[in-house]
Amino acid sequence: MGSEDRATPAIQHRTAATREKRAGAIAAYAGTAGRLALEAAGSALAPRVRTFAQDATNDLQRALELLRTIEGLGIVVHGPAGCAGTLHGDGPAAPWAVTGLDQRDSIMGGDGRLREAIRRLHAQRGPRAIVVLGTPVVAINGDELQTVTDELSEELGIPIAPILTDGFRSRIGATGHDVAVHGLLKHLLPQRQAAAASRVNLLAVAEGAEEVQGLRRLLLEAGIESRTFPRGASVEGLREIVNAVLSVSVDPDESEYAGQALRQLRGVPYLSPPAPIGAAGTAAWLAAVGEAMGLDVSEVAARQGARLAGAVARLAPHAGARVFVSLPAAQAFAVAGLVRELGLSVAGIGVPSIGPAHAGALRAVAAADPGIPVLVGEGQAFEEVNLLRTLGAELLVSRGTAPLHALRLGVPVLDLASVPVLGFDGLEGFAEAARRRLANPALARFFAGGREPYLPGWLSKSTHWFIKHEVK
Amino acid sequence: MSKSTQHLAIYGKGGIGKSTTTSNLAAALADQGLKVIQIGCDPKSDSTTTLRGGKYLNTVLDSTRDGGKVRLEDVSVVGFGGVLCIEAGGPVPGVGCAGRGINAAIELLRDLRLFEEFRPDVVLYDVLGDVVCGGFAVPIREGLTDRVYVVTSSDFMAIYAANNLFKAVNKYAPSGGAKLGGVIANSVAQPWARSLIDDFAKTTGTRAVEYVPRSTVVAQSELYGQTVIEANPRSPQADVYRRLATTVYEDRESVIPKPLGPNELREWARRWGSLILDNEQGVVQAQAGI
Repeated sequence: MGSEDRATPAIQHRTAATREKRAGAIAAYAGTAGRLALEAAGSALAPRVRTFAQDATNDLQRALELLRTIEGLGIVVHGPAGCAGTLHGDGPAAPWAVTGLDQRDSIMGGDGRLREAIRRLHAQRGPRAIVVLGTPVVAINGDELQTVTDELSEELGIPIAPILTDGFRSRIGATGHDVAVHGLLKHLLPQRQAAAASRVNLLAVAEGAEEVQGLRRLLLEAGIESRTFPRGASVEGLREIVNAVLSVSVDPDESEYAGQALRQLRGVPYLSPPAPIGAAGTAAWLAAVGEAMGLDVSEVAARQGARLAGAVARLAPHAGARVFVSLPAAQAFAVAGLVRELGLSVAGIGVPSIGPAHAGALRAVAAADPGIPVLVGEGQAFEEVNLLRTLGAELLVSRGTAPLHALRLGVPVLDLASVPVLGFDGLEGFAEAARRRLANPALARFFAGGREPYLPGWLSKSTHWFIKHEVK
Repeated sequence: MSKSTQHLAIYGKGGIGKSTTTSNLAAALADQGLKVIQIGCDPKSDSTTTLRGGKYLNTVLDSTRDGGKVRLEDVSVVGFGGVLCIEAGGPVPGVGCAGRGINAAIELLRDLRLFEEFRPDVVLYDVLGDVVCGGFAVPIREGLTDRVYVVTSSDFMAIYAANNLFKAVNKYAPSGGAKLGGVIANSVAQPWARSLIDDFAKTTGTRAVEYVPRSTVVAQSELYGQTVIEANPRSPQADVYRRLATTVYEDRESVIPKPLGPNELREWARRWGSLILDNEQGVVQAQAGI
């Protein structure tokens, strides 16, 4: 973002740029790590398209998943009723409303319905701030959200932020994280008063509450108080966020936008060490935070690291087991490192998107084994099934996505949404969860029921059958 | 829908005189004893003003505001010569999606069995400006109209818009959309204007069906809130509109036009620019036609 600092800071723009633009990320690739590493070392990753795609999240879904975790925040989805579907799923019970636009609103504009929905949500649930999310319908018919949010913010006396999601601008769902953070910081952020002596922001976006709490405990053990943002933050807590001495990434990819925006807007310094995953990764992360805070944390790291030998030893009977890692890029590379740390082997890596920022990690993976398969894309069950079968994977590691296709194949799944992986605690939990799954594959085979999830004609196709270079 | 009913769409650049031409055409057709419906497909809702003599008309989309049952009599009014006037309506400027509005209004009129109930001889659709998005192409698409007429003057921007409209007709006609009945030359004032429009029509594979001269009678009639047919029925201008009515009703020839590409259109325009300059400077060339 160095060049943006000299030009207009990203946070001053109307909304966040897509991940494709901001991070030069691509969302489609199937091939070897070696080939992709070569490409990443060149000028840019070549954009590719899928001629057949099964499913993909969009920015609206991702923004909703994130915003519903903020305590005290009311959510209004400005669109047809179905656009709020994400909020029906499991997750924190934030107060929310949907404007329920119909055919007539799509023609005549839905300002009136939006005003009504905001007023009703405010009257019935009393949120301390409200966010209004855009949908494909209002992006097309041009309903102006900010005119209404400014007007009602004044009327109701609480901050109301427009979040300019549209469902189609980006092929990468994680763009929604940036769009949500952009709206929150631009419209809800108080002014910075004075930095708190030893409090840092943990910039968590897609991580689980439990594992982030684990990181907070670890920091506290080192004498560092912390608050999380944006995931699991509170409206009142925003005051503490702007006054933190430092912001620290949890996932360098996902934390980036919030970290840079807090720095640009309120001058909070941003530190982005590699993810705290695995013993070495967590120790390095903790050391980076300690150094920035002027604290010696080596004793804490040594004490925590010493208790992990047993966890690794228990996995010895499964040494070399083939694990497919399917996670957002920064986490995927870190978890791949953890898998090796535990004596298992990495059969392949799947990521929703990948950009030039991962060139180093790709190079490292390719240096160890240039033929290791890499699949880029989200929600493409067919491609993942194809690869899992070919590789004979014994375990799939993913987060939050429904891995039914792997279970139908008889491959056990380790879902990081329920198994925390961050920090030293995470290593212990991950190792035990992996051990249990590798020791008891019968349950996954039972789910599979002996039937292939796809017909032979499909399975005979190569993984990259539907991925083509984009012609412009 | 009666098989004998002719559905005609009138397009053209904004401000070129589409509504004036369409309303006078409707009045002239009615004057000849035909049952006519004019549907204004423009959110400004002013297509049928001169036919209504100031009578209030609720637009089709306005009538759906409260979600109640809509009846034909709520969204139509009988104007001069028995012409049934309807305005599709749309959002206020700067909000919503007018193109979707045209689509929804026409769908609602079909649901209300407008054509079966009124049994018109001719239905005229007066459509907003260029075909700026798919919504404004609805009258051309899906076999809704029999023919399209494009109103143009000899101004380049009007010709440019007409050429764009030809592209839309060209796109939809092969799959059952309306074909082009021809060009209506409007506000013809300069001596070379007629030749220029004729040449454009010939180059794009169509024809001019009428030449409507610029006339103060039109402006005067509109200031009275009436069509020329009603306000100045004996004027030569009224005869022009009557002739136009006869042509579009009786001559049902239509074609798929061949719109010019951007470079072809630019070259064609430049050639005409030179011809007009030569004409003004008194240079005479063989077969100049001006």
